[in-house]
Amino acid sequence: MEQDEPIEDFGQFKTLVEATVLEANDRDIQHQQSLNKVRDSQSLVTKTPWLRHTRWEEIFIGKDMSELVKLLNAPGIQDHHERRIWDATGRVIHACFNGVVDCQERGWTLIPFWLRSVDRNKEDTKPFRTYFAPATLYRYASYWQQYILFSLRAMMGEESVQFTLKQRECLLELNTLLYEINVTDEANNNSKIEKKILELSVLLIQHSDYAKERSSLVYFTGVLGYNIEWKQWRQPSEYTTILAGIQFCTRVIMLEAALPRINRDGIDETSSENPVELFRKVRDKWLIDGEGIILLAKSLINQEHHLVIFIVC
Amino acid sequence: MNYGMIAKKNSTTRSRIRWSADNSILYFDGRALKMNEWKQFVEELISAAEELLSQRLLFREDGGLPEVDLKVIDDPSNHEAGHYFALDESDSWRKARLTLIQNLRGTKYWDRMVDLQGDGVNFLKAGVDEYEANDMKFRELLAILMMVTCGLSGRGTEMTSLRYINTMEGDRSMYVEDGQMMFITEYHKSMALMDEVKVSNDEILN
Repeated sequence: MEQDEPIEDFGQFKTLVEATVLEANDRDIQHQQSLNKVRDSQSLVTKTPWLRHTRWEEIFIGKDMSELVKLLNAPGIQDHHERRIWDATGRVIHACFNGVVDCQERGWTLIPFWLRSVDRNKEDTKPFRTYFAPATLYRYASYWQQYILFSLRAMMGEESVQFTLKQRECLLELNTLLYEINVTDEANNNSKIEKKILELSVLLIQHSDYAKERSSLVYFTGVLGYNIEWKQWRQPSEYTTILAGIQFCTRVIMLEAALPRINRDGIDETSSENPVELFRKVRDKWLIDGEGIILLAKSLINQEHHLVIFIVC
Repeated sequence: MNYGMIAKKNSTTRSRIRWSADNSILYFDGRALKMNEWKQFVEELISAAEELLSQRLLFREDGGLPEVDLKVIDDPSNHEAGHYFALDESDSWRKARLTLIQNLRGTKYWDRMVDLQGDGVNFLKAGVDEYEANDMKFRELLAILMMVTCGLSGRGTEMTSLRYINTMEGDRSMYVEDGQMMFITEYHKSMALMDEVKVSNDEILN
């Protein structure tokens, strides 16, 4: 080879090349880390019908998804405040689900049919399920636990997640409750937190499409649509089971909001409105297909495979 | 519109393609395509692509290509963005970069591409631009070869949207399958209308 380079020593040359290759490797690592940043692709070729439908790339454009996914993490062992929220949310979801079972036990058997239906004027042909594998129930509840923690963390420092004034006030009150701990009355403390979480959950679900602030629940479901392990958007087969869990939570929560268990003993045949009428007042606005509300509006049910596909609207 | 669609399905169109009696010539709208020349065209295309790859992209003076073992086990269920089969081997990029610089050092392209300074190896923009232009030309040749040698070709949009690497939007289109390169297209012109993904796959013989 021609020996006209300023540096002719082979050992030094090797060192320089090694340094250059190392630099290139560092750039590769940086590139790998930047893969979580969402760049909106307008190409119809790479944008599958699924991505066009969910609009995730438009919603999260410019965001580093790894940062948003961190907001979903379960609390650490040492993080006592967040752990209280997490545990209390789990108890709320289980209590709300017990509310569905309670309807069955009282003989209010029409309620689960209306709870399952997304049709404004017609109950479903099947009732809302009351038998779940414990692991499934645990997983479904964990989505709502993630959502409540996500909202609390986002309120502190993630501007892209929006809340209405009422939701923000409720979140602040919940945060304050965590610091007002009466050491002698743990049960009362937990009860207050659970009530506040239920109130917050209802407020978050009752987020109108026409509010100036975008629904944090829709945003949250989008974050859940990102698989941080693969740095890739989830495919429908992987994602719909998550939406099923969230839909489960929204339904049981709204049932509790419409028919609080504490008031159910006071309802009888002389009441001005029966339980179905009471429930439908809420259900017909917030849990059906075709209302201008939040999500879960369209459901396609594949009867043959008992596969329910939920599409975010 | 429905009437028109059904009527179209039930009617035939005039023939645009026909073969000569000895099957050596294909006529398309009155233009002749001789099979011997077509085969020659493909062979010349392969030679041109190999030469470009060897001499201008891999800087091999012998004009040959390195042996590539396609008996690798590609994992199609690895969906991680930024992944493709070449990364299955650890340190593969580092080895490739070192080999390339080693090859480049002994060629006439070294001075056009590299400026050695005390603090490192600096690549010259003009040389890099030239390299990238050759890379682009090689990919074009490869794309044509894939279309003409891998059975029924996809549409333009399908064939120009093949990805070798997983991305945030979806999986790669190219895989190594049992010693062969396989590419899968997931685009179809009716996708935009029907909102359904259409999948097809082709294989390149080893």
